[in-house]
Amino acid sequence: MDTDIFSQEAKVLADFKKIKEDGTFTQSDFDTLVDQYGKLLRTTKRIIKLSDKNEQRLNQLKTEAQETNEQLEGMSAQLSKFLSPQLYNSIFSGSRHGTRVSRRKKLTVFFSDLCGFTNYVESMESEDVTALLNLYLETMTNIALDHGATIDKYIGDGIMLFFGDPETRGVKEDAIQCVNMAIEMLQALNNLSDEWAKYGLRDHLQMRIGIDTGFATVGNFGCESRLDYTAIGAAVNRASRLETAADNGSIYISEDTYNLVKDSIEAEALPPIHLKGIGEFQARKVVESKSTKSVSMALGERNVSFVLDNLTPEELEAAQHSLTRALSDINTFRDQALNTETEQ
Amino acid sequence: MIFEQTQRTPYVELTERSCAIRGECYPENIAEWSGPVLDALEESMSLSSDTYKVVIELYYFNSSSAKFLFDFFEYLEETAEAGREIVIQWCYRTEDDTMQEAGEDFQEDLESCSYELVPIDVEETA
Repeated sequence: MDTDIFSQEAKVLADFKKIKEDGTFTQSDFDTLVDQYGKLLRTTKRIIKLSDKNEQRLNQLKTEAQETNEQLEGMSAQLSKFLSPQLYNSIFSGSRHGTRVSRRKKLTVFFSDLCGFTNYVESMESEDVTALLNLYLETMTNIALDHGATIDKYIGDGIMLFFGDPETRGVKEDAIQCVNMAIEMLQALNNLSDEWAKYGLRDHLQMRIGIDTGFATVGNFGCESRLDYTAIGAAVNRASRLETAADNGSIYISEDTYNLVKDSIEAEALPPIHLKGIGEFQARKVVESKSTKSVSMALGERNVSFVLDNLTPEELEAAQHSLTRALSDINTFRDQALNTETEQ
Repeated sequence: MIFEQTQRTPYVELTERSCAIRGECYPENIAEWSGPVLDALEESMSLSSDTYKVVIELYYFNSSSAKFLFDFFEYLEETAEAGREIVIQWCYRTEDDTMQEAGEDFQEDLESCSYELVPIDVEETA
C-alpha cells in the first residue's frame, strides 16, 4: 500500500487526465468517475462533519480550561496570602517544589516582638485585639516586603523573617536591607501611635528587634503531607535571643551583622550581654541609618525616632517650633520637680 | 503484530484472525503511521480465510486519521465483497456522542461487513 493517504484519489485523477488526453472516454469510464466522485464527496462531507465536531469539542474544552484556570487563579491568589511572595513565586514559577529539601545559606535573620502586648490583650475586647494586631502586622509586613524580606512566620504579635533565601542581593546588601527595614519599622510604629488611642491604649506600644547574620539551614521541614518553609540554625537562635534581650523600642544586632552594615548604619557597642542558651555575647544597639537623617530621643523608657528626609522646609520649621516648645516645657517641669524636691 | 500505543497513536494488534485498535489517533504524519498499519493488516489477513474480527475503540481521532479509517474500512469492505467473512465492532464510551456518530457514519458505507456499534461504560475503559 502507498504511504500517501490520498494516493487512491491522486491515481483516479491521473488516470482520467490521461483518458481525456487520449480522447478515449467510454461509458464505463464515466461510471467509474461518477462512482469515485460520489465516494470522494461522502468522504469529504464526513471529514468536514468530523472536523466541525472536533472544533466544537475543542471550543468546549477551551471554555472548560478557562473556567478551571480562573478557579485555580482565584485559589492561588488566596493561597498566596499565606506565603511569602518570594516563596509563592518560586513555587508557582516551577523553580521550587513541595518536597523535603533544605540547603545551607548565609541569612540575616530578624525577630521582633511587641513589648507588653500580651498584657494589653487581657484588658481588651477580642475584636479590638484583632483589629490592632492586623493593623500592626499589615504595616510591618508592607515595610518588610518593600525591603525584599522573606516572611517566615507570625508568632502572635512577633514576626520572624529573613533575607538571603529564596532571593538574595548578596550577604552584605541583605544585612543592610534588614537593618534599614528594622529602623523603618520602629519609625512606622511611632506613626501608628494615634491609632493606638482608638483601641483604648494609654501607653504607646514599642517593638524589640534582634538581628543576626550567619549560616542557617533553610528549606522545607516537616512530613510529606505538611511542610513548613523555614530556617533553622545558630543564627536563628541568636537573633531570637537578641530580640528578647533588646531594650524596648530598640534594635540589637550581632557583631557579624554590624561588620556587614557598618558603612551605612551607626550602632553603639554594648557591654557583653548574657543570652540564654548561648552565653556571653557581644551585641550592638542600632542608633540610626547613615543614609537617612533622623532624630532620636529617649523619654523615660520610650525611645522615639523620626526620619527628617521626607519633611518639607515648612514642616521642618514647624517641627523646630514644636520641639523648642517641648524643650521649654520639659525645662519648666524639671525646675518645678527640682524645687518641690528641695522644699521637701 | 503489535504497534505500541504512543501519546498520539493508538495501540494496534493484528493477528491472522483479528485486529484491535484502541486509544487516540492524531499522529503528526498520518501517512508515516498508517502506511505500515495498512500493510500489516493486508499481510495478516492474507494468512487465513477464517472469519476476521475487528474491534475498534477510539476516544479521539483527527481529520487525517478519519481519512485513514475510510481507507481502512474500504479495504475491509472490498475483502468482504470478495468472500471473506468480516465482523467489525465499533466501541464507544456511552457518553461520547462524537465517537458514536463517527461509528454510525462509517457504518453507512459498509454492506458486506457485519458491523456492530458497542457502547461501553467509562469504568470498563478506566
